[in-house]
Amino acid sequence: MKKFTASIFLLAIFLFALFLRLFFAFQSPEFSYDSYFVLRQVEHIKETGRPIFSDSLSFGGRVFIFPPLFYYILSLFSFVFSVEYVVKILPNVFYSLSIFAVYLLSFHITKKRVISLLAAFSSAFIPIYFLNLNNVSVYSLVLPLFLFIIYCVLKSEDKNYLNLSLFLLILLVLTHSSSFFLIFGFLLFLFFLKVEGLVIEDREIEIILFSTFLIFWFNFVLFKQALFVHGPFVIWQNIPLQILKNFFSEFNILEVIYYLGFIPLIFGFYAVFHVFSQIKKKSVFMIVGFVTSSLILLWLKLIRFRLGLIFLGVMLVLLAAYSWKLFYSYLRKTKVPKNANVFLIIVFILFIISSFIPAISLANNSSKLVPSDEEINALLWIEENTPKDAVILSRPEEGHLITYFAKRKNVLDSNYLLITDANQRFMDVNMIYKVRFKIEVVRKLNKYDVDYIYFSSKFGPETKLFYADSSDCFTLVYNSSIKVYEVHCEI
Amino acid sequence: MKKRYSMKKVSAIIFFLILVLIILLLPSLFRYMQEKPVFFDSVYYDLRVAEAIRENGFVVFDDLQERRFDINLFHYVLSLFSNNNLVIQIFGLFLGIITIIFYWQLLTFFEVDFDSSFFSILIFILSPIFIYLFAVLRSSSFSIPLMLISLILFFKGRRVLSSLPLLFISLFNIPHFIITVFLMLVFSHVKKNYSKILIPIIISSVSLIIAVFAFSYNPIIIFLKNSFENVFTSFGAMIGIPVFVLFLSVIGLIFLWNKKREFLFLSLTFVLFLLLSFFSKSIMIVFNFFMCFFAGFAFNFFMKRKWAVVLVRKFTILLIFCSIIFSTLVYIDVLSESQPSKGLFNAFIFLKEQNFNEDLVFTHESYGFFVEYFSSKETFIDEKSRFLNDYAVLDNFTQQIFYSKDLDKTNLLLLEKNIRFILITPEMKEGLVWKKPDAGLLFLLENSDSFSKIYNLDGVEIWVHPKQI
Repeated sequence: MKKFTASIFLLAIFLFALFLRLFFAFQSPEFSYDSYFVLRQVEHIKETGRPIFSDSLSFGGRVFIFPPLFYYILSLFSFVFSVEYVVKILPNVFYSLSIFAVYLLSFHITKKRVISLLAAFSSAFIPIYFLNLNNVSVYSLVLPLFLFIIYCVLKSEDKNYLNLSLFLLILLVLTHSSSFFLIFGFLLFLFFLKVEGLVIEDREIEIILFSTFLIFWFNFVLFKQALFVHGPFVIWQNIPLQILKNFFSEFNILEVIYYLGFIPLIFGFYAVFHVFSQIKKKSVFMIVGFVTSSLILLWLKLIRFRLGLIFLGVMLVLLAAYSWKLFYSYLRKTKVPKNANVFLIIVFILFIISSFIPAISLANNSSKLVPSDEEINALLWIEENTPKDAVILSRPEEGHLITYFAKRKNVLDSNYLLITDANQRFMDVNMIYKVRFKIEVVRKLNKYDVDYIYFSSKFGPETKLFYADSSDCFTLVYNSSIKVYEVHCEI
Repeated sequence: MKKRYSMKKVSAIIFFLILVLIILLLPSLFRYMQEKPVFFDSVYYDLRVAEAIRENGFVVFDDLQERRFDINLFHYVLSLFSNNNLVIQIFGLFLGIITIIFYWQLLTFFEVDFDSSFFSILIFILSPIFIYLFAVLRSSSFSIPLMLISLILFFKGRRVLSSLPLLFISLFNIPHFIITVFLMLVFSHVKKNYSKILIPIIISSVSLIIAVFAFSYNPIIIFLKNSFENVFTSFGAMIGIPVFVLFLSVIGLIFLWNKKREFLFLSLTFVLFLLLSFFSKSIMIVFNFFMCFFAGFAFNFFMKRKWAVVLVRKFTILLIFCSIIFSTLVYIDVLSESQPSKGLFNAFIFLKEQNFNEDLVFTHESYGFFVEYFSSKETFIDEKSRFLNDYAVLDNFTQQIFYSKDLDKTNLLLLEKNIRFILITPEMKEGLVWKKPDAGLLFLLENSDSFSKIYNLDGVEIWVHPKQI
């Protein structure tokens, strides 16, 4: 296949993937619950030029720490387009950009354009990437940066690629702390090269050392306060124990197959077997390093389950491309070389069945993972009808909605870093929604100065607040499928 | 050529002297500017022991806390100038400089090149442990230079002479004495000359017996379990190692291992001491020398290495340098922000003026030494209480008083233990003891007539409990 034709196909894959993502994302005008944190940050940067590091609303007043680049990029575009459009479109564009990186990496490994296109297509439709298309995730930018860095490091004998890798590395460090994952991957790559007796180029060591020092230093400076407060538990972002197991869940092989598709898994692991047992290819070892680090981090629960699968998925597609090339080359040497193309077609069809269809199915469900109109109306009612300094109690999942739509203080949300009593708050809030005894509830509500209770029954098994209907302490001030109670009593 | 080399060495010495002065004086200077007492941490216990010695000569029993003093030769030395903060600071500086000279000597003995030695010493001076040891005086401030000179003499074959500092080490710090003997044994094993160690071992055995009997050492306290947070200064440890320098030293170890296999024992000792550092602060202090050596080697390696990419070289070296400086500055900031604060100091002075000398002060154990030193009042529990046989009982009482909302029970406990004063600090309210504003004793203090607040300034509160209910 000629370069130009391949470029046209690649562009078509990119546009098709982006179209599908946007099509499903625009099925709902809203965003996932956690995304409203991003919206607040972007709007604040647009207004003031600075992110909200000191927030008077979240947890009733707290400090945020995060690398801000992602939010700045979004807010930059929001000067031209509306914030809602930018936040809806750009993360999907970023995700889709990883298609180009996968193509380039795959071509670097296989030197086959058809196979690289197949890999690019496969990477575009890994089911886990379609899990929630309305989620404005920083990982949408992290993923392509990661892949382009790996590509540039592999091509670093060219000075331009080397400089580009350094530039992208700085961008990655300024985007998210998951840049630590890059260190683990690189170090495992060096380890595999050493074990297999392959030559490690000086420039490779130098770039890896620089990356390691840069990522360590930047994150230590940025998270200094969090390290002092939480110690090594900062890895788990101070998430309360009760919800920790959902974020860092057990490694379930069936779930992994569903989210990644069995084609990349089977061919990916065959490539691992092949590279260790037969032809030792350096570029493949780099990808194996990242697969291994994803598996280790997932197994040790040091990385969020979804994030781990995102990295694992794309790396397995790259390894699968190497396997496809091996089979393709083998079949080309047989008496019926046309079988090689048939093989690729079969792989493509199997991928459509095992990954593309689940991906579309997951995308279709995305619109159900956003707040409903009733929820937003209730929150807007709170904004218009409650005092500006009122504290609203909600489930942690709804915390960012309270701060974004109602513009009121919440008791807790999903960002727990630097919150010293996160566990206690989580337990107290759960207890308030669960128990039937008024006195204990009022005591807890007084503790956090709660003025209103927001009850949606969307999270948790409770269908009503038992104590609220039969007590003078609580007045139902908003009544629809969502209920808002005003708290009167003090103990 | 020789003259140029000498000039280089002289310049390095001057540079190190200036750096030591700056690094060791900064914490005290920052504290002085904030009008805080210049010393921090457990130094106030040592100062109280030294003052008791100055007043009474040889002392064993602590009349204030009614238990044995945890005492060694250091307290006798300190008693000579415990009333003069400036002399203590200058003595610390002097011992710090001596330690650097001995460390350099040791590196020279092992034929470490000038540049590696330079960077090792630079990293050592910037290390939190160096600041911890020599910004004020501690028993380790004496035992460490003695340990180094003893090892230098031993390595040079002056066995009898090396035993003299060894004897003193045992009188200052038993764990460092054991480590010195261990390092001598390792060296003898490498040189396959066991007869060398005989004289130091005989002399040291005698000195150890003397030390144990003279100062009633409790060997159990040599090894204590450290939590992860207490090992790394990056996680807020008071005596600890910076993660970044440890990482750099591991790189140094790998490079050195590839270069010279004869560093096997040095490398093994590094790994062993690193693991033991999780259990003993004394070992961590010695491990710091190994760590700085390997980190210095790595830094020099990066400086001298012919880099394939010049741009990466510049950035990498800049990053390493910034990281080391950052660790140092963060640690200096931790020391300058540490207790006792100005507000707390004023509260101690107020407490001293209260005429109830036989009544106890109840507060968090981390404030115990400060209360005892500044207020001359007995505390219910302090950091030395951990080594008492009845610590579990004391701790149980403390927990009950802190967290119980039962007024009758708390009254009874306070009367039973003769506790009259309760000292509450903002840190205790913000997580050190309580996580909620109405928890346990805080609730009782605010809502009961049994207690009266006699002091409330800068967030520090002193409550008094009547002798009878």
